[in-house]
Amino acid sequence: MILEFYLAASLPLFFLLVFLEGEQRRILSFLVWGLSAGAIAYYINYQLYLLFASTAVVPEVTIAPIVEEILKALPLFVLLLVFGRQYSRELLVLAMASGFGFAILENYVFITHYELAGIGSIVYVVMRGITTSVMHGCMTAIIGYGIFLTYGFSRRSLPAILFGLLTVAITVHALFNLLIGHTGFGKLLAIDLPLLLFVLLLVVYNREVLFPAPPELIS
Amino acid sequence: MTSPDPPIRVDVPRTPPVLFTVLSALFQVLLAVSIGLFGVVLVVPGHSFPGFHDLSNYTQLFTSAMVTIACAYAYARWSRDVLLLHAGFAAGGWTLANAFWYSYTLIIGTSLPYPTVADAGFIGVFPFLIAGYQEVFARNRFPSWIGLLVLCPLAAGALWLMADLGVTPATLLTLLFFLLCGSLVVVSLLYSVYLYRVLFLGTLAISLTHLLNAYRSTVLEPHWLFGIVGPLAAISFALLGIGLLVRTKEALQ
Repeated sequence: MILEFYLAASLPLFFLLVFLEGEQRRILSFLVWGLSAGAIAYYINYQLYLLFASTAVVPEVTIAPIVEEILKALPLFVLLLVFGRQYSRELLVLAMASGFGFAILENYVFITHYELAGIGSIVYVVMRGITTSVMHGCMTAIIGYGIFLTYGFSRRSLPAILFGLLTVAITVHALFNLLIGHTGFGKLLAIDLPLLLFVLLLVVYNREVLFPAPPELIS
Repeated sequence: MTSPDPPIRVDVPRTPPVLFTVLSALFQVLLAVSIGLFGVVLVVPGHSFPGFHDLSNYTQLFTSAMVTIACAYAYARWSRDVLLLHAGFAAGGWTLANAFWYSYTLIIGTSLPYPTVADAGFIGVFPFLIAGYQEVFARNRFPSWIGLLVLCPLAAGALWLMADLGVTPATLLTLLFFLLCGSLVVVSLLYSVYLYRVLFLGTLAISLTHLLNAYRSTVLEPHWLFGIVGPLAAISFALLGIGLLVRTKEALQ
């Protein structure tokens, strides 16, 4: 049913893309990519789970974050290759759209898997909406904002920084999965982590307005 | 009628802010604690004491987290030195990776397999620092082939491990760690990072830490001496923190 849901969700959006222009089109394209990444990750993760089923590896903690973060951030890397370094802080929003697109499909996977009903399903969906979904958006947004920060750096630094940002996103994602899935008290921290990251990203996105640099700052 | 003389401008070095002094002192205290823990492994019978590993882990986590915070604050308020950004991300990623490693060990209960996600975070330190040094420091006149003197022995060591233990994900990752550690040392030599002695020492220490850690994680029964890895990581970050503050102080003045 994953492929069916993916097609049902993304095909109408392709029609909408035709009417959109500029920034709106870019944001929706990234959202659609996120949905696609969710579907691809589902199949890759499933195969890897089978591969490591008989080992001590905990796949949702040690494998899934790597696959998912690479797939979600893929269009950012393509964007850099195709269009060069012509970007603004909009990159954070685009990256976040990719992460949220991914989260939409993943939410569907989990809801159908657990077959919840009644008020329990509503609570579950709301909790996922403000924790895991926000986490997916924020992780990719970290990479997007990190790339924006490198504006003006020499071109040779870029691959190293992209790789570094990807490792940061993977590690935070793994830490989140570990805390939310395997702890009691740690769950509270895991629930707060995405919202905290979201506020942090909101602050840095608007930092020029919120915290103008001191005039005497050495550049 | 003559025009009045323009006022004479005297550049007086600015006194570093109080927070700057506090941060410098904090990193010096952390360095002293880390060296103490390092000494425990070497000197104390049994190479440990009750609670040693917890203390070592907390010191590492606190030191690297403080480097992240210090870099972020210094970049925002004191100096637009892009090395602070790079080092901040490097230390932040490392802190998260170490937090993950420690949490996993506590929560799941078994030792974390190698390679794993935590290693992705540990690896992340190297690209950030390499890119940062290349961005900030000028290339000196040392010939590039000097790098081979560092990289070849390290690659040979990793390949020897591979020949001994087979081509596995663990030995392949160790090869990657060895090459990245070597590359960081080479870049810091070719880009005159050694002019900032403390920063250079921190760079060497962090490379050595990950070389030893990669080797320790690959071989099945490591020697007790590898217990120095934890304290050495804390020493590395304390030195990096002090070194970065020295650069920031120069910019402030």
